Amino acid sequence: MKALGILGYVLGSLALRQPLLVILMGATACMHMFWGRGNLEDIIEDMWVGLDKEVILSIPLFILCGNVMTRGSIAERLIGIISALTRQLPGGLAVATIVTCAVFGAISGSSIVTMLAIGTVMYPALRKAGYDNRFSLGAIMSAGTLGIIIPPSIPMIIYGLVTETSVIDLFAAGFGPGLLITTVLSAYAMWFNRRMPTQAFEWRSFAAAFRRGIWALMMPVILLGGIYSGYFTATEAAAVALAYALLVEIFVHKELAARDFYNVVLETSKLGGSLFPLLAVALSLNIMLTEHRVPQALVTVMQDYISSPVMFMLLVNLLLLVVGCLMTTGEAILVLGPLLAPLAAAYGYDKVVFGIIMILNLEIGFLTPPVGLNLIVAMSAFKQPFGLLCRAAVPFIFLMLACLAIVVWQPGIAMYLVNGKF
Amino acid sequence: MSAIRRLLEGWHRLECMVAVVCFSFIAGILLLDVIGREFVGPLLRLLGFEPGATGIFASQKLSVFALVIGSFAGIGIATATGSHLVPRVGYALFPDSWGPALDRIADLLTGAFLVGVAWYGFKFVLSSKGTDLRAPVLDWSVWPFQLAIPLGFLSAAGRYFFYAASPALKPKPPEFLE
Repeated sequence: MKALGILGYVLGSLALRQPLLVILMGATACMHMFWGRGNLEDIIEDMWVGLDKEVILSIPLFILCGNVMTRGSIAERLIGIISALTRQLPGGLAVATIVTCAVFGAISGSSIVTMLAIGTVMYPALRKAGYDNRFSLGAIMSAGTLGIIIPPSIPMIIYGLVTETSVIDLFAAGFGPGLLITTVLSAYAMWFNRRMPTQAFEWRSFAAAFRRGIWALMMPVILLGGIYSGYFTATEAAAVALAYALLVEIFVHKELAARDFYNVVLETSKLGGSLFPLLAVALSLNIMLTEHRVPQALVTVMQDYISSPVMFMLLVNLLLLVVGCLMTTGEAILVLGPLLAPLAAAYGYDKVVFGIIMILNLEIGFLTPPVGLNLIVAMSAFKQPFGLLCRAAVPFIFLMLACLAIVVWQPGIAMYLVNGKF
Repeated sequence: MSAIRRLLEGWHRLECMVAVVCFSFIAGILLLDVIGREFVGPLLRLLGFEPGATGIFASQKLSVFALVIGSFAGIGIATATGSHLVPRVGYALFPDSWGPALDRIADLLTGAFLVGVAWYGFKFVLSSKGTDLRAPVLDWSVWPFQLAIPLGFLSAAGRYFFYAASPALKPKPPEFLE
């Protein structure tokens, strides 16, 4: 009855257009009143304790870093190098779009930032080179989603925080699936554009592009190299990456002034203001759920109905795909991460693999209406009708679903860099 | 109306400045800490000096405090820019023509709820002050930093009340929120 009361509160709040922050806080307060000591100051105390974690500091730093990098010409310089490398392939420019998104994803932790940074340069270039409009839009929108699966990834940090999973392991595990999706999308781009004319590889233009973009290319090397070698923690790597980005943008590319930096920090504050209080409330709710052994109770109930891990994984994937259509990645991870991760662990799935599977599902959600953020942003960025964008995304959604299925079937693709085993 | 708008704009600028200072502080102090520990320290050791600890003392604890202040100033910023995440699944339940009235009721409810949260926040801060809770490592009283939590909620609540009273003041939500 009490649980129904909470459900009623949540549904009522959704109908009354309340922010997620209010919905989560209200649900946490109800739980404290129904099952706890009814001491509502505890929620604020849990929020304070929840934010007191070192790894949380990496989020504003990665957001800052991404904002600094997107303000300058990093994306354009990366495109120059990769286009020079792929020009001899059929559909070389499309392949360059996808691979550049992957490389940019290793700098930025956001899908939309990646899509906009690369897409605003590559969409006109693809159209000018005669690429099909629908294909071009689909390629840019889907490759943009690589921003959240290729580390660093803000959704991975949030998942790590709410499920107490190692962020470094999640970063390592995101690499394999990110490469798989990049390869599959690139192969499709080559097949789809097999009749497009190709160009011969030119050392001179490659060397020129390389010289112009070497500083940008070093960014993911420093960032990921530092993390994977164990030299830096995620937070330290974020600090070093930010320093590098500032040095390059101010002194090498000369594209960032003091006023720009103020705007970059302000953008970060805006995002932080909506994200961190929400994260603190989610962590407070998490503490409450753990204290009352709610995940364990869910596991018991679920195992009464579903005994097969395969069936569980199938159902969870379906749930997450539906959720991805209705909620943003951050919302879904904050709400469902603490509930689903213990369930997955009870069915024998590693929490790291499950995190990657969750993010892969939600990554597809960026391309599915009505809340597919890449579709919504592409609508205004590329001035295209929503229906056309939805249709453009369809073949790419199927390819990404295939990649998701492969990772679920062979978790070693994700875990190889974590434990060295396929 | 223009006086209220000016008041809200001034309020917004103040919160922006607080947030910018906090996030810049986090970036700066963590950066100096890493440079000190990973580069300056080893370099000095290589040159035959024994510099002791070369990082910044309690940098992470100070950063967490700055994060709390910046984030809760950010609640007001996110409210002022319409950046709070609002699930849209319930929007289809009512006819579009009800939208403006529903938005005002929603703002009023959100404001009232956040006043309640701020109330419990102040109670928490007072109890922390009463017990003289101190930060590990720094040994500073934590209540002045904790005060950012209820103040942030109160600031957001005030804005929602203004939006309920005068929807024209409400910002348009950004096209995307992530």
